[in-house]
Amino acid sequence: MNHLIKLIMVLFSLLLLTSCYDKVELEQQSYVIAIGIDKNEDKSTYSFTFQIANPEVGSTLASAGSTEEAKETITVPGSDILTATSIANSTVTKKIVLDHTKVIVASEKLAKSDDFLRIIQSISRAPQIRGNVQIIVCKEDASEFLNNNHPTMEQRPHKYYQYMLQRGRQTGLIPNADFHRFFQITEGDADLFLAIYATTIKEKAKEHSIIGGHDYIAGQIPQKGGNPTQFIGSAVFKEGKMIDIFSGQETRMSNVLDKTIQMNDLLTTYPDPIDPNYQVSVDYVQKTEPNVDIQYNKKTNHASIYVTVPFEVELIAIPSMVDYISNKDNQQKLRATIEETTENIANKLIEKSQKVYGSDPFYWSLYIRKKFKDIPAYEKADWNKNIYPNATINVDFQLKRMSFGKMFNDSKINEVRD
Amino acid sequence: MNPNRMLKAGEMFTLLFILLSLKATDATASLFTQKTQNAFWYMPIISLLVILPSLLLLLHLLKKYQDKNLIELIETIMGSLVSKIIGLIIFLSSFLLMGFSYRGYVEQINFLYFPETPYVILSLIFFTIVYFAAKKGWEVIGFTTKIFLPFFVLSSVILIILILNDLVIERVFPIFGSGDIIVLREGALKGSIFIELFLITIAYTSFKKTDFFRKGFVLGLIFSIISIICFFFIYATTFDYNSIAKMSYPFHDITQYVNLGGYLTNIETFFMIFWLLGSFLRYAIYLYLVTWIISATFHIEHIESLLLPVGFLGLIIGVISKNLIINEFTFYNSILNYLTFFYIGFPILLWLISSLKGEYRKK
Repeated sequence: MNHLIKLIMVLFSLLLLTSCYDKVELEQQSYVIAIGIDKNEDKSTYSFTFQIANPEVGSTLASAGSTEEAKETITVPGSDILTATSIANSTVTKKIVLDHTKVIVASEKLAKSDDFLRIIQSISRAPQIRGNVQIIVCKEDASEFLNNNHPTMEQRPHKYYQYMLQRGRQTGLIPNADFHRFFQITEGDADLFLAIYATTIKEKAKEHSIIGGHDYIAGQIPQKGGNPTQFIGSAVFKEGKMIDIFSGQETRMSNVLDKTIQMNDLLTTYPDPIDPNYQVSVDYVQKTEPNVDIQYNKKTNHASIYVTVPFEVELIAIPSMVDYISNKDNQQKLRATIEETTENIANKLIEKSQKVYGSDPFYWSLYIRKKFKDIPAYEKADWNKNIYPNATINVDFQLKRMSFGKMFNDSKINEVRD
Repeated sequence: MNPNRMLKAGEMFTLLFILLSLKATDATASLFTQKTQNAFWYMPIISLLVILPSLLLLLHLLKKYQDKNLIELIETIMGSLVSKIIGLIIFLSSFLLMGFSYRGYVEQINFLYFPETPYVILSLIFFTIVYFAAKKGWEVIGFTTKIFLPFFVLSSVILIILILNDLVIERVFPIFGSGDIIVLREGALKGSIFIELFLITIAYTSFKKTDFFRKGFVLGLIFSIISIICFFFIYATTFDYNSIAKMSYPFHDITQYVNLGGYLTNIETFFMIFWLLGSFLRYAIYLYLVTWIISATFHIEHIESLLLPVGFLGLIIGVISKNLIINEFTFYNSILNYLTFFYIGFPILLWLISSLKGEYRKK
């Protein structure tokens, strides 16, 4: 009998597990995946666009009869994100939950204004928004971007953003732009932050000679078919304000030179040194971090920065059919071209960052910190106003190894066409 | 020798470890970083060094007088009246700190996991659990912590492994933070974050052998310092010095940040469970120690019957301070600073008097 009473009491204690005030059913929540922010004409309000996922779509159980859309996108005005969610509830049936937000999309207009930092700061105060939310800057209005984005394969928005950005980061064409990094760099007040650049509006195809083949920014790729949304390049932020746009190639280079970013899949092309009509395609592999060595003179506040980047390449296509495999001289030429071209791109980017931006997108201020005893001295020396713009920078790309894929030799085109 | 006692060095180790190392997960880190910026991660070492002489002196005295706990020791050396005063000061200080930090813990839970629940309800639930855990007695608390510890350590290790990739070691430079003098001074003033080391000496006689206490004490101290430093180092290298200063709960920021691959993204609740269990135990230990001190000071037999009033008053302190926020952060900060002097001072006083008395006796 005694046991029975105990058992009943234990069973009743299970009721406590439902928790009291914060109890909310899964069904009663709307999961926001993407938040878009636009600037209104009126100074103190913004337009917030919430893209809400429909959990029913894509699950095997409900897919049979359901004809519901995969997502719902609504735009409401508001002064900050949390109050906007309550306004949005006038059309959205359920409680809006931001815990699963994957991306925050800001329009270029907002990013370039002083208000960007203000609004982002207020977002970070909410415990629901996590440090790993990615920041995207789009060319058009954020609401337009989110409404135009119609992926055909990954219809469920959370999967779409997850895969799209993951793959983009692997190829290095977009930066790693999470909230956490944004605040570390912006508050550190020394380096440039790169946000993902994207658009759904197609520009006229850019007329340019293909050097490296990734010198595009979003909207410039002459793509046909598929989803019009392009993610390539990055928006450059200085002190929490957007100042410029990097192309895919420049973004890649900043990622290569930044030791805090990892990427693993760089396919790129170099001009063929023997037959300039063609390009050589290679797989660029960087196994170790770039080595940044800073010599700093305290008296003159001058720094000399020596960067060595060891890398490997694997040749994947030689359309010119020049023999680079057995011919040592040709190989030597190709090596020289690859190193030189990469160094040129890097030097151009560094020069631009020194002269135009006065700060670096490579997070190199980390290396100079060792030279100072305490933070007041470090802040006084002022990396982004004094040290970096006047620094002597020397970049050396060292091609350590070249491999040739699974084919030993290409077919001899002359003999084939004989 | 207390043959009827069950606790051994292992329990002592776990008790001290839970009591101290959970400090790494509360607002202590942000308290430290306010003035010293990125140098806060090694500050606990300085704090420890400052109080270490007094602590060793106290341990030495406990060993010399044998089979006496903290309050009994003071009474033997100083006499009845002075011992009551010192006992009362120790009690009040630890009681206040318990009240404040109790509030901090409940507020974290409230803010991060149960935003809709009123603070009072949440702290009542917290208090009820802590009270019932403490009521089971010192030995049960000891065994429970011993059983729980592996899980807590495991969850911490998982967290550390997951965050490892995002550490940027260069962020610890410039190594002296906001200046070497400031770091030394602040570190020294915060000696009182190790106040628990003094409190736990009240349990000196509750182990099978007093040797067990000393052994567990030293090991527990070493390992909890390592774990605190380890966590602080992680905070300093994941967050830059400007960001860490404005963060109230860096531990939870990290648990929110980490992912377990692409599929398991929001996993902070996993770490929250172990952290929550750890903080229940920590407060059960704390409540028991504080009550033990007051009952030893006034020779009250049953510690367990005092747990309820002492714990409840502690809860009230938490609630009151929430309603009268007069910059509680600075208040807490200055209490810690003053207490450091007291806790450094009284063991030295004890030692002086005890050695003087010894001289008299010889004559």
